[in-house]
Amino acid sequence: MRTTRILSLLAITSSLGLFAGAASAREVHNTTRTHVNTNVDRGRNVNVHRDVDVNRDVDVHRDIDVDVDRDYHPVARVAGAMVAAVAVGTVVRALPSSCSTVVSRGVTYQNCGGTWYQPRYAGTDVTYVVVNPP
Amino acid sequence: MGMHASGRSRRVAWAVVSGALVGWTVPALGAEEQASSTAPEIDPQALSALNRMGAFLRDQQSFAVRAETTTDEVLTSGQKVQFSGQSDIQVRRPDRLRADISSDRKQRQLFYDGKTFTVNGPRMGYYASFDAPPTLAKTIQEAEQRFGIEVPLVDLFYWGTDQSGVRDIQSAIDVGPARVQGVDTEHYAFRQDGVDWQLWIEKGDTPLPRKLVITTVKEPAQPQHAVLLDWNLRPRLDDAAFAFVPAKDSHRIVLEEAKARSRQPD
Repeated sequence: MRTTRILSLLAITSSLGLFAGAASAREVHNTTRTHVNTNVDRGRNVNVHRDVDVNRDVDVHRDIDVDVDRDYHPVARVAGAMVAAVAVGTVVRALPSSCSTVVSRGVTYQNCGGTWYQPRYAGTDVTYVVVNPP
Repeated sequence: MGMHASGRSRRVAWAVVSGALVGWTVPALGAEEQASSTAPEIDPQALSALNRMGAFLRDQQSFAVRAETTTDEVLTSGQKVQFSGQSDIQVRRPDRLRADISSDRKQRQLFYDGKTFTVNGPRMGYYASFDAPPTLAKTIQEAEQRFGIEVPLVDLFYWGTDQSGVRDIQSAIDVGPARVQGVDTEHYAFRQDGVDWQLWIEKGDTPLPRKLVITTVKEPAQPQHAVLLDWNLRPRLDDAAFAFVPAKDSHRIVLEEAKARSRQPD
């Protein structure tokens, strides 16, 4: 059980290009505050959820290239082959390459080489949760 | 420049100048100045300038503002990199807002038409909505607290209200006069928990914020977020500007509640 989980983490990590220090120089350490006044837990950054919530299975740091629009690919990504092992329920910030949009019963999915993702807005960021095939 | 400066701003200017002059040869003096400058100081005039600006902003029934932003991000190595962005915000009180946000990395639009709040990613082809409260203030609050959506320049809506956190300000000084993009302003500097921030307020009858710099002091690298503001206080804003019409090939997706995000998936 544990091994499967670790494997899936590896798969996701490498799919995000964060693997083995390959892109470690591009990780963002923290998020700069952009508001003086915030209603969200004053004294704390409203942006903090980016670091602690999303990608929690991968790394508390986010990559500077991950929080981007889908069609923006400044760095070549690892091909989607390894992504087959990603566990259902995993949240990622970027999709592997070669995905197709599928709408089933009113719900939008991305099918990436047989792994199905459901996009959703977390704040103004789009994240993807791995789901069972519809 | 010193002619219009208050006594305090002259003192600050003098400290800066003398620090710059002496700092070359006597580094120890710089350290001393730093230590003495940590004593909190509140200039009531700086706070009243902030309140006057807030009241003026709240009096504007409709406005359009363009914000040019630069934001430092800190890499794990400690290296800072800077991103640029632009936000166009249109507001018609009490119940209309639109924001077009574009950065080096992404584009987003926010629409509030009095009934529905929508976040749209034009390049992503995804949008999500929630049923919004009837007023702008409540809607901004719900977007932030319930959904974790940051409305750009949200400070603009809080200044001059109970939520503006004037009580949180630990230090406020008048730095002195400054020109920002050709406009005469007064430059203020504030400190509060977690952030040092500076504000340039236009002089005269239209006390608008023209520039804002926020420094995140808890980060060793002290990253900054800087904003230049260009105002239009007489915009033509009809209902259509605030109505979201999805593009033909875009898809509605789920808008996750912020609380759900703190749960660990398994």
